[in-house]
Parts: sequence; C-alpha cells; structure tokens
Amino acid sequence: MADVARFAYTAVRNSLGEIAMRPILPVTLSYRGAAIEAQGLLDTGADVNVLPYSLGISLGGDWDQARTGLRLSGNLAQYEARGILIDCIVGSLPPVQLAFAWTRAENVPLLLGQVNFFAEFNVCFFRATNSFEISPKLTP
Amino acid sequence: MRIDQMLTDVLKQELDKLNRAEKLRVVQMLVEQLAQEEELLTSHEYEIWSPYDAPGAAAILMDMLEEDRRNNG
Repeated sequence: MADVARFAYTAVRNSLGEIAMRPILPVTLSYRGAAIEAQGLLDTGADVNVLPYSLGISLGGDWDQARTGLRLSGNLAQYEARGILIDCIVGSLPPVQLAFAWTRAENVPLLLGQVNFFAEFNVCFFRATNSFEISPKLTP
Repeated sequence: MRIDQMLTDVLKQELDKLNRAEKLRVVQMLVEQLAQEEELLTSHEYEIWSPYDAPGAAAILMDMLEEDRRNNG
C-alpha cells in the first residue's frame, strides 16, 4: 500500500479581502544543496509547474544557465520563462524531481501542474470535507 | 421647448465646437466619473496565473526531465 499524505485546504484572502478555499501544499524544494520550505498551489488546469523568479533565485538558481525557449500563456505570457529541475519533498513521501517553468514574474504563486507534479503524484481532492490526499505514483 | 432639452442642445453645440483632443478628454472624464459611481465599472480585475494552454513549455520540460534521466540514471 502506497504512502498517503493528507492535507487540509487553506483559506486564502485575496487583495480585495475575499476568502477562497485552496488546495495549497507545503513542500520542501531542494536545489544543489539549498532547501526552502514553500507553499504550492495544486493547479490541475496548469500545463506546467511554475516557479516564481524570486524563489528560484533564493534556491540558488542561475537564470542565465536555465533552459530557454519556454512560452507560457495567460497572465504569464508577458514574462520570460526558463526551465529548471528542482527536487521536491512532500511530507514524508520520497523526494521527486520536478521540472519548473521559472518565470520572471514576481507575484505569481508557486504552481504545481500537470508537468510534472501530477505525473509524479496521485492526488485525490475531497473538497466537501476541505481536504486532499497525495500519494506517489504507482510504478509497475 | 423643455428646459432640459434646451440644455442638452446647448451642451451639444458646445461639445461640437471642441477639437478631437478636447472631445477625448471629455469622454475620458465622463468615463472616470461613471467608473467611480458604478460598482460594475470599478470592480477589480482578477489575475489568472494558471498556464492553462502551454503545451510547448510542457514539452520542453518533459525533454529536460528525460535528458536528465538519461545523463544521471
């Protein structure tokens, strides 16, 4: 039986004072010896993971060395994005390597999307009870 | 003729005398006034950060992962 980590939804207040319940996941991001605790939004509609610029810099990422050529959509389309691989730990689950679109945008949240967070983890949302569960993908 | 119709006609005549830039300033002023009065117009925009349609970026990231697996096992 695979390990399962269970988390509660987080009440988030936006700039207008409105409150929404969001599936925000506490993770530890690790890159070349540096580690940072972060809060990632589970975004099933996002094609890719998105790393805010400042977070990548804090991890020791080198913007000039990061893979170029990524084009994002929506509000992020106006910002340059580059690719970077970062290790991610969720709770006590085994670490996985995640590929991020590292954007020059500063105020974007850390987004965990289809490539490749949802390719590495099985996620069940229980919005009715304000919780969600995460387990490693099953390998044959 | 009703007084409000007279005022409207006078106002229209005066507006017609304005040049293009002056007319634009009047329109801008009126829009700003309406925006302050109407909740609909003053409602804030909501930022949508989710890269909903970015298959090209996804393909590049997949290539990076595959390349890293090949090089590092």
